[in-house]
Order: sequence, then structure tokens, then C-alpha cells
Amino acid sequence: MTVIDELRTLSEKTGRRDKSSAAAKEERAAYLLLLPWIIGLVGVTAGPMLVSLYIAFTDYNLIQAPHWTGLHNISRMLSDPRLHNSLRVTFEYVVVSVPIQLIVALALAMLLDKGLRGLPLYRSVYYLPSLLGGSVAVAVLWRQIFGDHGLVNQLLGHLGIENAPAWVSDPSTALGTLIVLNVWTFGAPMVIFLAGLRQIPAIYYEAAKVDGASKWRQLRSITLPLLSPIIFFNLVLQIIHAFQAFTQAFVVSSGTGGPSDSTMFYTLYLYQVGFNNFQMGYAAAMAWLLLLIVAALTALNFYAARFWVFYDN
Amino acid sequence: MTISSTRTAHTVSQRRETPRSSTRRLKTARGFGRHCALIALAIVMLYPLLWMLASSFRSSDDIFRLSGILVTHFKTGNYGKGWNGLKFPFGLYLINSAIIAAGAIAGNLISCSMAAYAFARLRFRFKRTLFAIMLITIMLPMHVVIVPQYILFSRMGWLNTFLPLIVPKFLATDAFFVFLMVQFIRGIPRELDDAARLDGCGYFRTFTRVILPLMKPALATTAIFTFVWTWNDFFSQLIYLTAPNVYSVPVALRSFVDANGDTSWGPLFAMSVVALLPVFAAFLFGQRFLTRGISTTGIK
Amino acid sequence: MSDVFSRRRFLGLSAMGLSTVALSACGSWGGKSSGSGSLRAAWYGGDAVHTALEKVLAHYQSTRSGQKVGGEHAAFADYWSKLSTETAARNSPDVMRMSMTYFTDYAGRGALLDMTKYIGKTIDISTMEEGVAGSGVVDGKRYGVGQSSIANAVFVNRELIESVGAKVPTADWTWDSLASWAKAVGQSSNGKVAGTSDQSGHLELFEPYARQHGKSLFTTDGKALAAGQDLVEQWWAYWQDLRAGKGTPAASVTAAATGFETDPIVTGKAAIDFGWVQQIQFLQGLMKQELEIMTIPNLPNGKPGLYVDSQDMWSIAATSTNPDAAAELINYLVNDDFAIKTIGVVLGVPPSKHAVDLLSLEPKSPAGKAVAYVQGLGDKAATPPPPWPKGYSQLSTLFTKISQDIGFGRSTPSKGAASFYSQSKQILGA
Repeated sequence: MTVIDELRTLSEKTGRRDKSSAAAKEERAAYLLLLPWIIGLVGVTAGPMLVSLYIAFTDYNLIQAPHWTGLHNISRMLSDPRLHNSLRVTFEYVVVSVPIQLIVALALAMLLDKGLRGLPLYRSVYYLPSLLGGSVAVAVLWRQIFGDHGLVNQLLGHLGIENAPAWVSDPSTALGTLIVLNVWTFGAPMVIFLAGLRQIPAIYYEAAKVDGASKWRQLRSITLPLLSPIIFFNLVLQIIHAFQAFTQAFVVSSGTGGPSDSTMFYTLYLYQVGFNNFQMGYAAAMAWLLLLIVAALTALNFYAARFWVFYDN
Repeated sequence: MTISSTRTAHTVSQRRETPRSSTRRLKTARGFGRHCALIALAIVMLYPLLWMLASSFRSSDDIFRLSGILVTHFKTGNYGKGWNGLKFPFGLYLINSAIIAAGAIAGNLISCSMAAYAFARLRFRFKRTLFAIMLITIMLPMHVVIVPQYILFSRMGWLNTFLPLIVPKFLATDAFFVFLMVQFIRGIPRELDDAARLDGCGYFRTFTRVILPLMKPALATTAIFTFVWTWNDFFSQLIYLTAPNVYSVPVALRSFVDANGDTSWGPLFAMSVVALLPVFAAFLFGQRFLTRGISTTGIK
Repeated sequence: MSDVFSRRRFLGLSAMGLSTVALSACGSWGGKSSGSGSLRAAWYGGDAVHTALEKVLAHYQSTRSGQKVGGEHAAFADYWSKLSTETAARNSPDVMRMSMTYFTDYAGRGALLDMTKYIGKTIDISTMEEGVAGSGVVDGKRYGVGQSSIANAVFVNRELIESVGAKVPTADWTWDSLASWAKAVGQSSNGKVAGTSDQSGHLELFEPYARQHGKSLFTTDGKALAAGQDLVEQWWAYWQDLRAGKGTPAASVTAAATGFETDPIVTGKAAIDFGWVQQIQFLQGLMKQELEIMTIPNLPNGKPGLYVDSQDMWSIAATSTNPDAAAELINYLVNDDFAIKTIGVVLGVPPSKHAVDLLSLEPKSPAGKAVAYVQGLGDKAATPPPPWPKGYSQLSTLFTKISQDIGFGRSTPSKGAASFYSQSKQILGA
């Protein structure tokens, strides 16, 4: 390289320096901020994920070293009736419980957002069930409510309805009780909605009032658009979570997914396969199938978001 | 869009006077109706928890026999038995859980907000790819990664310590919260941080001085959720905590369960109630911060 | 320039991190254990078990200076998830409680230590019941030492039976007489009390049933069912007939029974119940009416189906760095007088005559009844079968699931048996 060439490139660079150095600065700042996450991804998350991807193509009983079986786990998935059943159960659960839970959560979040006395108390009360998590107490509780002689049937008895099913231990209604259980814990998305509502600048409403906009108009033109990133977040995450639903079915059915596999969620079956049947290879293959399904749905969600999610930039 | 038209009203600061007396009665009536509905719902929501409270004062067979919440034969013994029924007093398990939760909250607040700011506001290469990777890490069921993760942490000598439960949180492994905060930051008007940048703030100062204060509701949500989830998280705590002196609340609670023998339901329910109190207190405290976001910086 | 540099640095960092993870993850499959002077002992159970064993371990350490033992415990279901994870990392506890349900899964895959050389030297099993002493052996190698005696039994609520005007069956009963009796109880009480709980989903009871028919449940190599598909079908048809005739509670009541508290005999919905003999203690603790123990029904000229053995054992990890000390601890747990007295009956009926004598249980107490039953079985019990094969837990879950399919009318005994049979080949053959 000649000195002249060097000088030329140097002068070209200085011409663009301002812009490119600002961009470089921004990029450096971004990666610096992302550093903990990147270290976590590389050190804690990605490694085990890749290991599980490898295991998905092996026979791994947790005790002996895994050995390569190629596509055997995948062909087994195609012909496993319990797996197909668990997929069906999980889809049913997702399709029914996610919309109900989100609508209830959003409606109550708006109701509880402002203008009422004792709001903190209501909010706390509604959030309480979500605090219980997967505690063993919930299992007993749900049987007391939805059992043969449970609270629900006692109430129905007072109304003159006899011969109601034993909800929780009848395969045609057991999944329904878990959906109710999930809706009952709408507190988590509600809190996120509340936080989102709190973040909408009050000035927008002030301005709308000046313009004489009705409540309904405010809801449609301010609240929903400005809340849409949060609605989107809740939708995406609740779908992901619902596909991974485990604890409640595990606790309520004592880990069996019964009766008659009617509450055998996908992840519950995966857990049984991995830890009770010592087929971690097959479980890993199942996990990656679930990942593909959920990732596809999430991608779809992100695509659809272009048409309804409003970002302020 | 309406949004842009309302935005032009940034400067509007006075509230328009409305004739009040006539609407007030209507308002109180509507408020009363609302309260009735909210209270009715609260009862439905609370009944199961009241039953749990009632059960903590009952004997094992009554717990399974009675679905009402009125306790006729108070048995307070469950609390003593539960508190002292395991190798260590239950207080130790509460402390252990509190340490884990505090560590996890600190970790998530710091690391997730940093990553979220970068994803939401800064331009850098591979942004979309990295964001997609982050989302994908949420989608794999934890049960298949826990074995490799356990092997990793056991190699590092971290078993039987709180480290495997806390350190990953400082590395933003809870991508849920990163995504949550990204969505919140994207909801903050960009003019605010643009103004800060024009004032000469660097990215980090903009982050700490402008963005963080504005996303208090999201931070509060993160703190509350992290606390609740850590407090209730069972599986990873079961796996990593081995000796009874480091057991956490969920692990200790399960010690009362015996699938092949007598489960001590009374003490189990009593300690479940005890374990619920800190979470409830944390929520009552934390939710106050939900009310303070950008709305307080807006014009009242 | 700096961009390239930072990207390269980033890639290098990630490659480094990934390979560390991969190496450390794979390295453990090569296998080595972290050594230390102290022992780890792990068990499943509830708080009564934890309290007793912690006390025993504390006493053990106080009598043996320098020997440290750390106790680790979990509920049954949790215990197995934890143990398999620890085993995957070659980090199993030195001494562990092992259930017959998973015993061969671990022993047959090299996770447990062959203790043969300790038997008769460090570990004394000479005072154990014969069936118990023989438990824990796979292919001539000893992987577990029994910690309790166990047998199938029937629990009878005499008061309830008499209250509906029926008579308590006698010891010479058959499956057929049970059926007609149970239906009669159900009908005379208008379906409020069924004769017996529904056992169609219990593989542990199907095994003695098969043995009464002269069949073992599994082939000797454990790779297939030895009892035929027709016998499985017959079993499910038998219980379906009882269910239809109100001899057992409805399928939803049976499905609701997920623990002792919800067991039909405790809730008063069935007059007799089947189970492992020591369970009388837990059932009785939840009931006011007194329970008695009987042997299970047989065929008119059936072979003895019952057996006494140990379903819970103490095992040593193959990776243990201090197996001698582990063996010593196991001997202490099953033979020491303090340990025997402290453990009492929380782990089941004690495994040895010596322990039974030492405890001198009140014969009218539930535990006393259980002990008397095990000791009085005599020629009604035959040689125990070999340990359940690999995959037993999976098979048993499937058995329950199909029985529920039949109970709720989603399958039939013949379809269910065919499905069970074909799936069993895949489960056991694997």
C-alpha cells in the first residue's frame, strides 16, 4: 500500500467519521449493556440447550452415557398415541384458557386502574391466588371444590341439580377444572396490564377531554393503542406459558395426568418420559418439537403484530 | 390517527371545569354498583384461600371432609407442629428463601433492564437475531435443560449453595423480564430520551436518569414476579439444594408430604399460610410502585 | 475496525464458553465422583420418616467419632427426579433408599454398587425373613438390602359391612365369591357403599392374581410379560363386571382416590380395600372404625399368589468413594437396637425377627396387626418373584391409565388388554 493510498482512505474516513463513530459508539454501548445477558446465554443457557438438542438424537437413560440413535426418537413421536393425546390436550388448554384469562385480566385491570376507593386492596385480593403457585395446598383445594362432594356440587345440589359429574376426576371435565384454575390466577397478566396502564401519560387523556372525546372513544383511541405493546407481550408470553403448563396439572393430578390422560399436558408427559421412564433422549426430542411449534406461533404473532400493535416511534 | 392529534395537546394543562353536582349522584350510584361487583368477585377469588386458612386450624381428616370455611374446633397445634416438625425451625427455610428471592430480584432488575434498554432503544448489528434467540430461550421446557445445567453447576462446585439459583439471574437468563421491559420501554415517548441525549447525556446516563425512572411500573412488576416465582419455584430448588440446612420454603413444605405414608396435612397447611404471608406483604408493598410511572411526571 | 474486532472478540468468547460447557457436560458422562470424608445418605418419605432417620444418623455419628453423615430427604415423587439428575452427574448420595419400582432401572444400568462382598461380613442379614433377605439381588449380584417386610393384603371394615346387613367374608374366599359378595353389599346399600375398592388399575395386585393362575407376571429375563393377554383381559373384565354391579364405586370415585385420605375405604365408600400390609397404619389413622386384615382371595384350586419380600431397600452408589463406610451405615440402620427402636414402623413392617421382638408391638395396634399378618402367612405365601424389571414404573402407569379408559367407557377389556400387551413389548424390550 502506498502512502498516497493510505492518505486517501484516511481522508475518506474522516469524512464519514462523525456518523460512523456515533454508530460505533452506540453499538459499543449496546453490547456493553447486553454483556451480562450474552455471558448468561453462552455460559448458562445455550450450552445446556445445545446439549439437549444433541440428546434428542440419542437414547439417554440418565445413568449410562447417551448413544446415538439418529432419527429414532422422531419416528417414535409419529407413532406415540400418548404423545398425540398430550398435544391435543395442550392445544385445547391453550385455545380456551389464554383468551379467557387475558380478557378477564384486561377488563379488571381497567376497572381497577383508577377512580375507586380501596383499589390497592382489590388489586391485592385478586392477585392473591397467583401467589399460591404450585403449592400442594392447591391440589387438595381443587379436589375440595371440584370433587364428587365438593363445593361446586353442593351449590348445584342446593339449586336442585343432582348427578353433577365429579369434575376433577371425570375425564370429560377434568381439563375444564384446570382451565378454571388457570383463569383464577389471572392476577399475573392483570398486574402487567395495570403497570402498562400506569405508564400511559395522563396528558393524553387530558387532551382527549379537552377535545370532548367520550370514554369509549378514549378507550379505543388512547388506551388500547398505547397498551397494545403490553397486550401483545401478554398474548405472546401467555401462549408460551400455556404450552409449557406443567405445575398445576402435576399438582392436581398427583403427577399422573389422569384420569385417563385427560390432563396429560405435553410438558407433564415429557417430564414423565424423562424422569420416570428414564428416556431423556425422547424427552429432549419432544422438547424441541414443542419449541418448534411455539416458535412458529410466536413468529406468526410477531408478524400479525405489525397490523395492530402501536409503538411510539 | 387520534394519537397524533392528542399529542399536539402536550401543552394543555388546565382541567376543564365541568358542572359537577348533577353528575355526582350518578357517579356514586355507579361506584356503588361497581363495588358490589368487585366485592362479589373478591369473595369468589378469596374463598379457596380462606378455606386454606381454615384448614390450617383443622385435623387431617377434617381437611378432606369439610369444604366450608367456618372452623368449629380450632386446632392451633398445626402451627407449632409445622414450625418445629422438620429438622430445623421453619424460620430457617423462610430466611433461605428470602435470601434466594432477594438475590434473584436484584439480579433480574439490573441485568434485564440493561439488556432491555439495548434491545428497545439502541441500534446494533445482529439485533433481530439476538432478540429472536432470547425469545427462543424461553420456549424450551426447563425439564430437558435442567440435567445439563445441573452437571454444569456441579462441575463448578455450586451444589448445595444458593449460587445456581441467583447467579444466572444476574446474567439475565429470565428472558421473560427482558421482553417485558422491552415492551415497556417502547411505550415510553422517544422524545424524552431524545431530549436527554440532546442535553448531552450518554447512553448510560440516559438509561439511568431517564429510562429507569420512567419504567418504575415495569421494574415493580419484575420485582413482584421474581419474588413470587422464586418463592414458589420448586423443581430447581429441589435439585440444587441438598442438605436440610439450605432447604427453601417450597422444598421444606414438600417434606410434609408422604406418598407412601401419612402426610402431615395440618402442619403443611399451617406452614403454607405462614409462607404466603411474606409474599402477600411483598405484593402489598410492591404494588404501590405500580402507581408511580410516567403518569406522575405528566401534568396533573 | 473496532467493529470487526468486537465481533471477533464476541465470537471467540462464545466459542470458548460453549466448549467449556460442552466439555464439562460431556466430561461427567465419563464419570468420577467428588470425594470427601463424609457420607451422604438420602431417602424418601414424610416428616415422620425424616425425623426418625435424622435422629438415627445423629446417634450414629455420636457413637463413631470422625464419621460424618449428611441426611438428604424428599417426598417420593420428588426423590426420583432428584436422584436421576444426581446420577446423571455422577453425584449420587453414597447411601440411598431404593424402591422396588425403580430398583432394576438403577441396578441394571450400573448405578448401584454390588454389595455381595459385604454381606455376612459388614452387613448382617442373617436374622431377616427369608423373602426379605433374598430381596435386592439381580443376576446373582446384591444391589440392595431390604429394610422392611411387605406383602399384599386386604383391609376390612367390619362395622361398615355389618351396618349394611352383610357378613364379613371368610379366609377361604375366592375371586368369584368376592364378586357376588361385593355386588350384594353394593345393592343392599343402594350403591352408597360398594363391597370393595376398584383394583383394576393396580399392577401390584395383578401380579399375585397371575401367580394364582400359575403364571409369573414377567419372563425370567424381564423382557416381556409372561402372563398372557387373555389373563389381562380377564382381570379387567372381572372388575368391569363388579363396577357395573355396584360391587365397586364408580370410576370417577376410584380416579379421585389419589392418596390415603381420599381412599374409598377411608371415605366410607367401600367396605374392603386392597393394599400393601403396612398401609393399614395410614388408613386406620384416618378412620374411626376399626380395620382388620385378611389375605387376598384365590381361585378355587389356585396356587399361592402372595409373597413376602422387601420393596424398599438401602443401596450404595456405584460412584461412592467410601463404600466401606456406607456398608457399615447400612448395617447400623437395619441391625442396631437404637436404630430399630427409633425407626419403629415408619419404614414399614420391620425386616427381621430380631427387630419385631425388640419393638414388641401391641398386637391390637395397626402395626401389630400388620406384623402378625406377615408372620402368619405361612404356606399361603410362595417364593417372591425376582425384582421387577426395567420399565416397571412406566408399565404400571400404563396399566392404571388403560384401566381408567375402560372404567370410563373409553375402551373395553379386550381392546385394553391388546393395547397393554403391545405397548408392554416396547416398554420391556427397550
